[in-house]
Amino acid sequence: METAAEAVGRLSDTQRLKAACHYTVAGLCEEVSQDKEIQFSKQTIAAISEIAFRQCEFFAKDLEMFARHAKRSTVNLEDVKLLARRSKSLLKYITEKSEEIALNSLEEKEKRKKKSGSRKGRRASDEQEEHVVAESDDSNMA
Amino acid sequence: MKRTVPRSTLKRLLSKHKPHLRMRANTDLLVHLNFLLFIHRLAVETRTNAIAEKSKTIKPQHVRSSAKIVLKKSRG
Repeated sequence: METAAEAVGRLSDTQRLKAACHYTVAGLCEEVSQDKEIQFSKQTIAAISEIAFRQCEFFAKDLEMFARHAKRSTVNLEDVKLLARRSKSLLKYITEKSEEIALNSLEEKEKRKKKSGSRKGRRASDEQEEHVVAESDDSNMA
Repeated sequence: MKRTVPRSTLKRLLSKHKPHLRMRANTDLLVHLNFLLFIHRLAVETRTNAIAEKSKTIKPQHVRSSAKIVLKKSRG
């Protein structure tokens, strides 16, 4: 008999990743089953986690290609938006979330720059920039 | 089979959809290749549909139902 820790130590990296993925999927399925009052069998959860794991492979390859297409070696939010372009609803959701993240990061930067006294001036300029960006986005969408 | 590529037609169709889009030389040939492959996929799918319904001729409803699937698959 071996302890659980020893068993975990002998697993490969891929197996660990799969286990983590499975755990997360189980948690999400638990939420859904409480919400919709439907039971998930263990096999179903395992199948979903396997699908998610394989899908991540495609995601990684696509993101890498998008970044390389823009002559970058760093994947950023724009690449993730491109990844979600195939379904309209998903693209909308991802765009909303990315805007939230961008706003949060801006606020973080503002907080970090406590020493700079020209906070209001920067804020105003930032807002102006955002308006300009939004307008250009609209013109692109049209 | 016709061996010529309707390049001006292709360019006109593309400029109709995206007027401000400018294309490098010979890009339209690749677009045409994509189009041919799409038609091939559609044909295969439609034939499968027709055989599944035990009909020997391809009917409009087979094309419509398979077009839905193939168009979804061929999104960029």
